[in-house]
Amino acid sequence: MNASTITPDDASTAPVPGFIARAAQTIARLAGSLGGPSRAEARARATAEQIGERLDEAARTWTTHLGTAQSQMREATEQLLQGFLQILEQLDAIIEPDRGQARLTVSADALDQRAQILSDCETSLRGLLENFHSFVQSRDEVMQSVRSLAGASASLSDMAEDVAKLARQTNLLSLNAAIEAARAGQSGRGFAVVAAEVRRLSTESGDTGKRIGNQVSEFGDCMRTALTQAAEHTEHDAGVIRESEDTINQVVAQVDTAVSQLNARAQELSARGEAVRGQVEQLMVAFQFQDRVHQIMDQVNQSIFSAMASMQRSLLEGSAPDAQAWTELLSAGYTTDEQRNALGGAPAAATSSSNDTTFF
Amino acid sequence: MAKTILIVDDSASLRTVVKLALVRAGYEVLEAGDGKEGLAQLDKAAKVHLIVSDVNMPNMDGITFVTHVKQHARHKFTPVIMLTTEGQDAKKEQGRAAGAKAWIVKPFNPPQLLDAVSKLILP
Repeated sequence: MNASTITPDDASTAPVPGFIARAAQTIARLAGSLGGPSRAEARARATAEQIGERLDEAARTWTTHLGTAQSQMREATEQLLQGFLQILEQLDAIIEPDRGQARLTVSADALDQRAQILSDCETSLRGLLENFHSFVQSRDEVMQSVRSLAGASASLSDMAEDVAKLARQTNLLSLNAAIEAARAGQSGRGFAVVAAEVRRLSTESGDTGKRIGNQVSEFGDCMRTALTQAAEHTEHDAGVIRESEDTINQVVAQVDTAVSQLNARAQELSARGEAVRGQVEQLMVAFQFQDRVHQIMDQVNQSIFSAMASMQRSLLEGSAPDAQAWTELLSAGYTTDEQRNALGGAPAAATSSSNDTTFF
Repeated sequence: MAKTILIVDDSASLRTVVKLALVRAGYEVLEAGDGKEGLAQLDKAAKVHLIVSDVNMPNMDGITFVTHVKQHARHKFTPVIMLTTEGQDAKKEQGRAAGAKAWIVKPFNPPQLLDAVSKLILP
């Protein structure tokens, strides 16, 4: 047992004092100086010494346990914090692989960007379909012109037939003129020459009319063939366009679904990100408990030393500590509202964050 | 370029929590375990845009630390936020008189700290 006297100056750094035991010894000495110890006094002195030793032992044990608890709590909090940081880092990497250690916000922008790209694809495909329709419409207009030309070729064929008919009639007329010229004899010889020339010209006109008719007929055949082929192509193209339209509609529907799912996912991630952010902030508040508890326990440690020293002085002086001075001694070094609120009463609830900043 | 904030607190876990809040908000952080270490950090650092300091610390407490900061050749205009369990007006007055710009009582909420930081930090 340490027999040295503890003073207020070294109370904060000295080991737990054996003041109770020393006080008991002092009381015993005082009793002895008053006429020598009786058996009852000797028993009382022995008991007081034992109580003092037990209390001294208890005080040492309490402060040792306080130190152990503080140390364990500090280490455990550090481990918890490190674990929390690692979990947070992993969480960031999952939610925002591109941003690493950046603050916890969900990458809704990236998803929105992808949704915009898909939406642009849909617009482009729709535009492509519109181009198909325009192309088919242009071709239909061209084919309508071709049909008009086919109608004109029929008229040309009729006209060629009329030319041939006129040639036949002219030929017949020239034949009659030649007969009449022959009847006229010598005086009709010149007329016969004219009639022969007219017959030659009518024959040539008839040939030309036939050729025109043939050409027009061939032209008409080509027109009909072209129209038939165009009709077949139109039907085929209509089928291709229908299939393309169906395919595009399917793609667009898939894109719509994908975009909707991405948007829903983005909103879900945003909501979860907000929830996680809130929980992270709550945990960050909770982790500060170690600092407060450490300060409270530090003060308790200091208080034990100074209270012991005060008690020792009081016992040596033979008077109880002043009530107000005792309260002030116990509350010296308080740093938190919990400590002040708990003074002389029930344990105070932990202070919650106030969100109140004082600006100077 | 990220702005630099010096955290001065004797509690390692508290420094970790403050650092976490500030780093996630995009700030760079320097750490010190008490006022003396804080002054040593200021002597080494080229530019510190803001200081967050505890009050009750060993070796050199927060009020004394702020007093020294306000006399520091390069950092006397660096704003200081006191972050402490102390909530009494008398203590706050000591902080104000020493030159602190704001006082936040622990436990703090990260948005509360970040709000004060954004209002006070040097450009």
